[in-house]
Amino acid sequence: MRTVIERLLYPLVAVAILSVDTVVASEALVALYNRGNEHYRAGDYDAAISAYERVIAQGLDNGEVYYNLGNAYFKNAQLGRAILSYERALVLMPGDRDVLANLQFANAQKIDRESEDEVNILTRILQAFFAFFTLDALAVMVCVFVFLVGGVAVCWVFVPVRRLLWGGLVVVFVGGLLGSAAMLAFKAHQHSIPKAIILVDEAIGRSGPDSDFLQVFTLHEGTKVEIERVEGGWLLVRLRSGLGGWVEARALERI
Amino acid sequence: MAMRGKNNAETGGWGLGAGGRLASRVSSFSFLFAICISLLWIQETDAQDVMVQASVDRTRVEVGDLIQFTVEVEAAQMGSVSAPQVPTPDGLQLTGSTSSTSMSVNIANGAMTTKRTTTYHFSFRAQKVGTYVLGPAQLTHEGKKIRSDQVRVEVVKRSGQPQTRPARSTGQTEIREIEQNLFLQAIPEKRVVYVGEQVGVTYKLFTRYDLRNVQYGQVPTFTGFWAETVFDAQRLNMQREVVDGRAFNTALLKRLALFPTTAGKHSLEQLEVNCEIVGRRRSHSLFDFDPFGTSGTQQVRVRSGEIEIEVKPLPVGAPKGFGGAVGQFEMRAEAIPDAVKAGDPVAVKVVVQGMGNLHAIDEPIRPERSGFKFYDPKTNLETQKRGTRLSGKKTFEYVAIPKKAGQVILPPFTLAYFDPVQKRYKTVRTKPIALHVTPGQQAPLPVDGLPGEEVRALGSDIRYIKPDRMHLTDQSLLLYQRSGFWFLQLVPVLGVVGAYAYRRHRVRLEGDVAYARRRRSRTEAQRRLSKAKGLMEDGDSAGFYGEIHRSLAQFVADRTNRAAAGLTADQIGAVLVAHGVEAQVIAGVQDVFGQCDQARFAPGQISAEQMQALFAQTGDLIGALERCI
Repeated sequence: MRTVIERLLYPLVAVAILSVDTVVASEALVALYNRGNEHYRAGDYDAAISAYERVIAQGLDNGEVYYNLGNAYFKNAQLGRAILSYERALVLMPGDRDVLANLQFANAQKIDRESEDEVNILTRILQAFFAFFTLDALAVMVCVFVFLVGGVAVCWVFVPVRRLLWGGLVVVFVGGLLGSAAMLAFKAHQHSIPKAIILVDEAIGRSGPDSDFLQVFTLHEGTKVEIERVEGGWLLVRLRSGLGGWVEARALERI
Repeated sequence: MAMRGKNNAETGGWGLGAGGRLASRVSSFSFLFAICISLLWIQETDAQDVMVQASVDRTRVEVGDLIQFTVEVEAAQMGSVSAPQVPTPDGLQLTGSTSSTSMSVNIANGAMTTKRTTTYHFSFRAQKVGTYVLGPAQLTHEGKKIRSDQVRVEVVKRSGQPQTRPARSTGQTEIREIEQNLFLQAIPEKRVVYVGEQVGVTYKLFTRYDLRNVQYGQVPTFTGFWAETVFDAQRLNMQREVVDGRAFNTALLKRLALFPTTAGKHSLEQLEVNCEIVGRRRSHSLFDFDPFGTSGTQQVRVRSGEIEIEVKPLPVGAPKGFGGAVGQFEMRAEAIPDAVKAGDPVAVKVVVQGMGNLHAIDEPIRPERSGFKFYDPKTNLETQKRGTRLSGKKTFEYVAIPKKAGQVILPPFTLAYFDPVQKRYKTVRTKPIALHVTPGQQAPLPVDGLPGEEVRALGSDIRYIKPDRMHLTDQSLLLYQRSGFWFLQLVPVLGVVGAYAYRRHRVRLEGDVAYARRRRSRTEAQRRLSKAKGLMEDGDSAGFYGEIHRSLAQFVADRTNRAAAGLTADQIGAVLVAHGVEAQVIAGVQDVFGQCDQARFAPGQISAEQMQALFAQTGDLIGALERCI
């Protein structure tokens, strides 16, 4: 029996540890990031932007780099790019207070206002609760519940007399597991929907993927949209209000 | 002999407007001269009869020209003569009438006759092409109606061609000669333009004569255009220019920038210039008395050609906020100062600069929902004239008041215009301006240690950047996107499966003797074998053989759940056969038992090699038996 465990479990744990282990940026990239910070402190936002952009172009996806880049764009009065950078930073560092604060600040400056739906207090609490858990936190929760359920099951096997206690715990933990797994699945699905930020001063939404089609709405710099379809150089985008229209691809950039 | 004072201006001055000055002067001299002569004879004669004469200054005019219709009434006493009535034919328009009276005294044979002449001038403007009859002029004298002659006048289409006409009637050859040496050209930049597009028109005078008293006659009104004079000559600045091999003196008279206001075909009326050619003298006449040396000049009227300009309407699809600006423009904005207190004004200056009619440029569209309160701008226009092009800049100075404090961005102003060169609408935007607004009401600064004073935010700005790092990690993969995460979830599953299997095993060990013996058999055999090995190393051959025998016998007994005691080699052989063990293995087992018996019951010299071989053989046999039973 022990040999089976030895043969299966040890490599499994090794794989898990190896894959959880993260990619660390080269020293040159870190130095470039720090140089960008130096330019930022000196007020040379153009130079700071180019330094951060180079770090990102070399394949490093780090929330702090995007956050600082967003700050530099904001100070350089490039609102759309600032919001885009903050949104990207938020994907990588969900729940980061600095990112959230600056994203909110930048969003307050843009022209388009998302219509605030009339929501009751329960919905709002649910939304806040839902927003509180990040994808990684949910993943950890799922993992913890799996281990708890497993642990209780093992206890039940060895101490089969306390059936009520073990059975109750299994029900509780399986419930927690299902709940967190469902939330993880839902959030992961939401996460997988491509979103974009309008970068031009004014983008016209049309009823079809060509400039001949009727104008449906006008969007301004910094507005966030979901991308539903891509056709040629046109994207079918949907606003939070549910309004959809085709916008030229060069007017926006994906988060 | 009767001499008549007569204002003969109708042959010259009329129809030329201001340009007729010289001709009038000459006529005035003649008139004064005539009066002086007539006063020499003082004898009064009664003339009861009234004479009426009608005449025109010219019988062939173009549409738009003035016709001077003159009625001369001659009578001894004017009191009883009414003013003549002249019907206005359809197609002509009466533009005004004047009258002048003169007296002539005729002394013949000592008798003096006084004649009073009243001259009525009626001026008509020709409006339509056709032949018209002017007159008869009707007047009443002592109850009698008197009619004048009728005069036929022909109105022809305006030629539109540039033309030069001597003021007084002259022969055709002479006209042609003058035309070849003196003309006025209107040069438009282009003939097809868009509404609002700039079109420059240059008027240039070409002459081979020496000119004097050059004056504008009729000046075009540019109906349908917004006209901006770019250049207007104050004096003639002559330049040499060769046209068709002939050298001319040319002078730039006017440059205009025209901006069509409506679509359609518009014709620019002709520009008319009156001047005198020095050194030319028309055919001699009695009244060309010239005591002041003005002789040797000829009054000439010069007209430019008529230009037709086709004005196209602007294409459809004008962007939102298009206010009719046509040209090429750029726009910039600046805000002074860039850091203010909330509620304090910021001067926002938006400058539109470029080519085109800046008068027609409306205020750029202010940013919507900008977080600023804008007051209506102060507008300032500076135009520059280069060639026939009108350019310049229009400045809109706004007073903007930021509504909230913090780092705010003043969004762009936009201006839509039509670019006639690229034939499409364009929109220019100013760059957004970053402003730092500190809160207006000076919040009392929090004093250290004062209880109850909450630290208040003085303004809002974005949060500061993240600090420098020694290491940066790539965060692109989320936890759930890693394969290791899902492998980790297998651990508890395997744990449960393992625990269950282990518990089952334990339960069987307790309850099922046969199972327990079977599970233990190998461990037991191993234990005995290691014990045998120890005995072998100690040199206790008897103990070794005994242990080997027991380990093998016990193993078979455990596997088959039998009592080991009393199990003979033959019985074991039978059991093994019953379990279908290979004959070769059975033979091996019997061989081991045989060797053990032999060593126990007939102890002789036993070598270490023999014991070693037996030990190895037993180990192999146990392994082989484990697979079979």
